[in-house]
Amino acid sequence: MPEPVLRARGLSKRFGGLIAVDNVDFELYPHEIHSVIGPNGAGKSTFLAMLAGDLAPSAGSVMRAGRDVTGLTIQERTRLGIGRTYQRSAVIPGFAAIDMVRLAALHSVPIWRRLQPLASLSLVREKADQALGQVGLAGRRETMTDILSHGERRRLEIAAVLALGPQILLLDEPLAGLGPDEVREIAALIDDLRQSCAILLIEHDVDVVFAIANRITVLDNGRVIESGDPDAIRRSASVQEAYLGREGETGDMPT
Amino acid sequence: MSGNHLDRVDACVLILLALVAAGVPFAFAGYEIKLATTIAVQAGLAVALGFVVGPGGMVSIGHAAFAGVAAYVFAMIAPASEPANLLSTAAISIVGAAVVAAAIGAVSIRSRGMYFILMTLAFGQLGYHLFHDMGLVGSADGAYINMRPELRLFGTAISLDEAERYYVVVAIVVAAVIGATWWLKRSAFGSVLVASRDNEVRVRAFGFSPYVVRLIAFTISGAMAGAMGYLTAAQHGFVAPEMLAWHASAIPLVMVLIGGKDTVSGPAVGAIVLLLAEEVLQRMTEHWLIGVGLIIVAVVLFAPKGLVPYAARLSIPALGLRHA
Repeated sequence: MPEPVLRARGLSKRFGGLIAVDNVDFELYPHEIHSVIGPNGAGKSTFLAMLAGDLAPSAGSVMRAGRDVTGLTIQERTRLGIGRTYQRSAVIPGFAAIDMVRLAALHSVPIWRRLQPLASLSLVREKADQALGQVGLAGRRETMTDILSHGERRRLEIAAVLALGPQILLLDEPLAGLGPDEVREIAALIDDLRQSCAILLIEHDVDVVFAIANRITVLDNGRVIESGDPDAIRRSASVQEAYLGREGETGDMPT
Repeated sequence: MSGNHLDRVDACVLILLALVAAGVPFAFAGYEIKLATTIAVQAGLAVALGFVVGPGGMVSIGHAAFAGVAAYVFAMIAPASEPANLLSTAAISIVGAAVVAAAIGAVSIRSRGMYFILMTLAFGQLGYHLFHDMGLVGSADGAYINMRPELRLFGTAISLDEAERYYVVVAIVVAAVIGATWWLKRSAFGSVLVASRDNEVRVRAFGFSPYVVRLIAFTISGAMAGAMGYLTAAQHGFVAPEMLAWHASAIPLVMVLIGGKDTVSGPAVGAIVLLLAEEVLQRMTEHWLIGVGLIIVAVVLFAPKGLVPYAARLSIPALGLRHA
């Protein structure tokens, strides 16, 4: 097994008396999709936020390719090749779609060149065009982010993260609120992206998760109740209990 | 209204202002030239402030302090019995203002919204009291700068005692400030600044530090305000603690809001409208402040985004364009 590109050890987060994430161990290997699933309130997004650097853990550590990055900010982790999307659409209002993606690609040019307009930086232009094309938004490049549909905003967010050129993608419910066709397209895109990235996928659509994930970790009440390949998770009694015990909350496990 | 249309109107207004400014020495003399110089300096200060209020989303009520610091630095380094070298003393004064802006910004920018306003207000007042009460540079009485600086170029000293000549220097400096603001706003740096204002979380996830971006913008703006403070001190030959006080910062902020914080030309237009209105109303009535207040109320009611965006909106049907 190669070295994990991202590893969490004993990661915990407490908000006063509430333990949102409790002593979680996690590894993400190159070119894999490692999905984290669990009922609502299981602590998935909190866990991702700690990996990304949005949230400081109460205990535990995060290692990026052997380097301890626990104390680094999100912008420092982004520069180390960790890109993330958000559960709620986080587009930048007042920007054309292409300009938001160009902004993400800006880190690839030296600081002194940032005195030029975004559109005049050829490397930024190329990366942004490519990323927008990858998510199928090339035809909406000049559309203002404010008037994009929900599905288009989700795609735009992924395009922006791709423009960062990340080696690690942390995707927080990228399929939430999408129609069936869009779900198929974005799932296929995520499946393709493993060629270039290691992907942590938090997702409630368990059909997609079981179809594309190499490994699945199941959280419940902030704790890992199971981790393994999709077949092992499918057979796990504790996972069945977590899901079937709350049927209607997150949907049935696929059979 | 699309951003592109507003940008075009903004550019047209700037060109118009440049033409008017270039025509002033040919059309006016004496008092009018001095008034035009004062308006130009205030326009430069308002544009500098507009850069942090608009794209930066930082409403500063302490920017006059940076102008005041530069003015005081000049008063301290100006020779008593001969004209100062404009280029070297201006450079030192502007660097002084930039250092103070960076220091105040480094603390203030950690807070947002109302708290940021209060921080800048507090630092501005701190500067006022420092010069007013601590026995520095003339204390509450202020200090005189005996001779206007001269421009020394290629071994030649050019006197700026003539009002017309000084106006030309001021107009060039203000044009440079406006040009730099226009460039910065349209640069990738400006885009990051605007994005930091509108979605800080996303900007962090793109690998940028909104704090650092804002601090750079605030320092540049403070340096530009410092240039205006230097020009004011050189024009009047006098510095006083009131240059740093909160009302000296509030007036440029009113100019920014009258003209439009989301444009580069707006603050300059606001300065022209406010100062010309003051000038005209003062000649008409001793209650001129009431008139100025009514103008501000009218702009807020009928053109809440400022006069330049209002003109841009009016020009859409006039040009046969459609609302976007």
